[in-house]
Amino acid sequence: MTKTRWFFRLQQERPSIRAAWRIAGGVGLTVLLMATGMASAQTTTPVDQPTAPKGYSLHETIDLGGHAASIAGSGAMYNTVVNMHSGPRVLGETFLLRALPDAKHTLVDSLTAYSNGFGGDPSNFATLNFYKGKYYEFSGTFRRFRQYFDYDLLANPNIPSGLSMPIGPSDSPTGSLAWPQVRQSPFMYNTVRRITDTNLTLLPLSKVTYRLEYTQNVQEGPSLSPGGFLGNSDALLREYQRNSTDDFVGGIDWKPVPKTKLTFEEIVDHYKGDSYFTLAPSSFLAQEADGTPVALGGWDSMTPYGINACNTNSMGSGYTSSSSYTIFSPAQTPGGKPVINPACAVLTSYLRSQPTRILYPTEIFRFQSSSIKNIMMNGDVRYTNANMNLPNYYENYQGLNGTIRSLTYTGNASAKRKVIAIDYGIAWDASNAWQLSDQITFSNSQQPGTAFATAGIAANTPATAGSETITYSGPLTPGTSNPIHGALGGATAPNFFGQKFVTNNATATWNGLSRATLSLTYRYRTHIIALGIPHSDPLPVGSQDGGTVTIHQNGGVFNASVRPTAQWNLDGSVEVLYADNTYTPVEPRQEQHYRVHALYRPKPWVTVSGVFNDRERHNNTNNNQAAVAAGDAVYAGPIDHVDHSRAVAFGAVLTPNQHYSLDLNYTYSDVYTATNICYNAAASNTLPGAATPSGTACPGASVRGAKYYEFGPARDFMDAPTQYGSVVLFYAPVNSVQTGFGYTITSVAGSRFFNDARDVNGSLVSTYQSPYANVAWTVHKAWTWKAQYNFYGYGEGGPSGPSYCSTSNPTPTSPAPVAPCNSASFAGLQTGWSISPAGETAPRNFHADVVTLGMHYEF
Amino acid sequence: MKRLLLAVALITLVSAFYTSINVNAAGEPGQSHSALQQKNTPAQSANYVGSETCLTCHADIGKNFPQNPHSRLALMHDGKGVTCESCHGSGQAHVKSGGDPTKILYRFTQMSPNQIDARCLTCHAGAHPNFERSPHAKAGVSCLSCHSVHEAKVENKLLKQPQPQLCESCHADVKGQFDMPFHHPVNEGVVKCSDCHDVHGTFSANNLRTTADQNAICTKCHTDVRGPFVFEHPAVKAVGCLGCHSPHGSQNARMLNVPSVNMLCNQCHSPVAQGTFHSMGEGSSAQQPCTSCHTMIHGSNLHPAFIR
Repeated sequence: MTKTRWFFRLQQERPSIRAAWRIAGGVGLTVLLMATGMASAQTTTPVDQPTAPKGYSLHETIDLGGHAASIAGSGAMYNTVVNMHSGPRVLGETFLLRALPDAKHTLVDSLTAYSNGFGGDPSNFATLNFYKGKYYEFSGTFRRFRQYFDYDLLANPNIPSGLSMPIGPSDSPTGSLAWPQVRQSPFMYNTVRRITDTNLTLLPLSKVTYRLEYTQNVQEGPSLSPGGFLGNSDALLREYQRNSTDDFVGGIDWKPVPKTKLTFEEIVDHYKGDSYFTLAPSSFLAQEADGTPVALGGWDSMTPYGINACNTNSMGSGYTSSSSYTIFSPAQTPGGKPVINPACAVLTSYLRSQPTRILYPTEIFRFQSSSIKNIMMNGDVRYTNANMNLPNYYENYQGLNGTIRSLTYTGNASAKRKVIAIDYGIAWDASNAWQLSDQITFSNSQQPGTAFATAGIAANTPATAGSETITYSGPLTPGTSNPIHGALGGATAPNFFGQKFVTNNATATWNGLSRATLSLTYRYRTHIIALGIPHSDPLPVGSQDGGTVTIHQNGGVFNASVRPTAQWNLDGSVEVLYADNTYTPVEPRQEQHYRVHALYRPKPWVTVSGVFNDRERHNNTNNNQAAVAAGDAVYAGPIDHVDHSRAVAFGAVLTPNQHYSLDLNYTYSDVYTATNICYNAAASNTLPGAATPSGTACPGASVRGAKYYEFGPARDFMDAPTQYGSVVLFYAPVNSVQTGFGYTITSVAGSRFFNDARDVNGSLVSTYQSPYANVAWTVHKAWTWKAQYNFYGYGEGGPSGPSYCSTSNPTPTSPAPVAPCNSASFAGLQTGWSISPAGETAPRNFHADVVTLGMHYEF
Repeated sequence: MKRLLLAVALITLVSAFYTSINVNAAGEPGQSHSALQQKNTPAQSANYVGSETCLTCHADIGKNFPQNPHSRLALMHDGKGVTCESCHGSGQAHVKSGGDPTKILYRFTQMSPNQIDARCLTCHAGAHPNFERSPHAKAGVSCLSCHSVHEAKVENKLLKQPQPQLCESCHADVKGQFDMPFHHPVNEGVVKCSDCHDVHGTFSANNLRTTADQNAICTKCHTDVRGPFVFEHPAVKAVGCLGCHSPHGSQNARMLNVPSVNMLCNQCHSPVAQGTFHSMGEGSSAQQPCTSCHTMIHGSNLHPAFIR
């Protein structure tokens, strides 16, 4: 078993086409030989029927086979989107055991098991169900999903290509060390989630029923994570993720009278968070003279590592002047890492761990009753008192940062989550035509917490020339406190978050016509958010916490369901909501939602459906005008947030007979969002910044501590018109042969505002298509040979970058001079117009051919 | 531990009320036993003819009885299950008329969605108590829109089709979202619509489920962002996951609502929002992604600005 890891290894390298087809050929030949051999054998030997236990019938199937994949283009993007690779697979398995109708005293009435995809596919699941009628029911599922994510645009640092650091004297270098572009996503994931659900119900038909459930959810695996304010700068970290929950449920249902059920549940959920962080292996760009690999930090900096990271007084002969110095010496062995001056800032090791435990016990009481004539009601009361405990936070780095050789942070934290929630709903059939219903929900959650973190325990070298090095071997002395930027810095910090919801939906429904149902709902909601300590009064002017935000929402929903004919269903609704306040600027103050669903079945074998779905939301209020008037906030124009999500979809399924079927789908959707935002132009003579020709300079904003004037307010927007189409054709010319052909395409022709002149559209302008064809041939009664071909193609393109660029930052008195980014004045400079549509990193386009061959065997 | 012991005690106490377990199968309202008339099972009602009589003409339907959870229960447990007359009502008039379909008390093909729902909820109201107030009920989606008692494709729940095809047959606008470059693995079979939605209705909007501690259902799987955190990112809890993510699928990485992390953050944290809204911090306009430093953006136990 120790050698099976290759079986699940994620193949990040791109296999050659020749190799892939060699594998495909091998698998195909093997499977074909199996097919013909076994078919031949079966012609002379009857199929061996499995021996079912007495009183049962048994039916089993198994699908064995494998994939052969040929991938061209971006392997990272292929793994992010598809992640199917070559290799043998257990494609599927079923087990069906049924007690015969006249059998007595059997352990189960039915036992079914099903699984698929084991052997290396990113998604697997298995189910196991068995029951014995009135005595018990058991259901269990296991799901495994590998999440591979390496889409570099999300955090593309836009580090220009070609930057480097001199090896040897800076004024006469003998070589250079490339300042790397981060071609891998700094939020890369290669994690696996395993979810196991089990559920046992005892005496399901009795007046008292018992339920036991257990769920385990484990996510683990390596990922990348940026680490801010670490040593001399920022560092890219490797986070080994490991978090899990064990969820236990015990419940009892009691049916004291017909049509009434009372339920009590105790739920205990235990969370364990054991993720830890170390330096990413790719960070180690150089080494010390003794061979210790070192990370330079600044992974997202557009400025390469330079002399300002070094203690020049301790560089010895490595420093002559600010223009003549030697940071890196040539590698000691060919192909080795360059040697860094021991007085320059480096990280040699880093560890952060924060083992966290949370226990969530919840008691739930539910009731349901329709015992009273024409009245149906139900409700529940829930109480949770969760405890989070982080007893030992530990963070330490070794290396050199000024005089600091080692810095350690420790801390602890605890928090509670107390929730009381009450739900009640009632529906009263007032007459044959009218039904009145009401639903009220209330919840109050309170989360007090306390955190403590030290300001940092440093071990320093002497601050004397020659001593400020990583090789200093004398005694280190305690340094001054060095808290993480914005962190607690040795103080104990209590904090609080809470929120209360009260929601009521009152509905009148009219069923006066057999072919129509009309309903009108009045919705009211109060939402109170409490932040910080104290939080008994409304949020003070200019404060982010220490008060409450109260939102009242009123709205109405009109719903009409019409059945013009027995074959035609038409349903539509109009929902209008208004809120007198919101917590965030992008929440709606006004919302309209229009929706129509149509379903038409002119023949039993024809189903046609259509959908129109339009949600419009707006927020153009200035909730903080009092702060502006009081001088606590600078007015920068209206927020003017709007967004909409509009979709028109059509679907048709035609199944005229067992030999043919056709499934068609088409959807056009448009997601749009726009908000007024201020941005920093961050322009320089070599790196132009985005700008707007008519924008006025926004007030100064902090950019990592410094004040910059910005351009804008800019109308930041995203528009993502998307077309989706799919067609699936099934054709079975004879009973022993079934074929299928399909094609799916998603095409996004989006556009957006660019706040960075070097930014690109990426997946916002992309096409993803996946045609396929398959055939299943029943070679013999028990044997079916299957083959499937899938093509996956993904491509990005379209214009990138902003329309207007500038090479200087604006101020209120000196607006930025702007020009079209593709104008001659920016020739040779990097803008979205001048670099690849894929951006600074590798193109994310790919296409892949995946052949799946398999043999289905029934016994 | 005290709470656990109390819970166990309560469970034991309630069980004590009913020491004798009385099997009461689903059946005609008011019946103490099923209406099923199987071999060796005496008729419970004078008007009931028994399923054997029905099968003399409707043998094609009877072929599936051994696989049907309704009738299978009756077959295996001496009639304590559900068959023809449990749902269709007494068949006596229908039989006496020589098969006149209008004499069938409950002809589901001729019934309105409300009537169908009422018939099914006669037995299943305990399992689906919110259905009558649900969006599906208001939209005329009846039990038989999704379930087929006689010709189910998915035996376990008697579904007409497996998920997600069943749901997408009406929600065609959602189908394409699961084929976006970034999506939840629904088509891959790992996640089901019913993991997040209870189509029979909930107390939440959009038939969404919640966790037991009134958290977003997303945290059922994404447990690491569930909290409680000492420093919550208030928008995560107050607005919810959908404030930043499109859960079905998106053209944007991490299923974000917008393609740029900075755009997402600055919608709330730029000087415009600070000047015009509840103070939310002026934010930063650095071109590096905000999450390059604020990595614990969903909440932190050590850092008020989510940097650790």
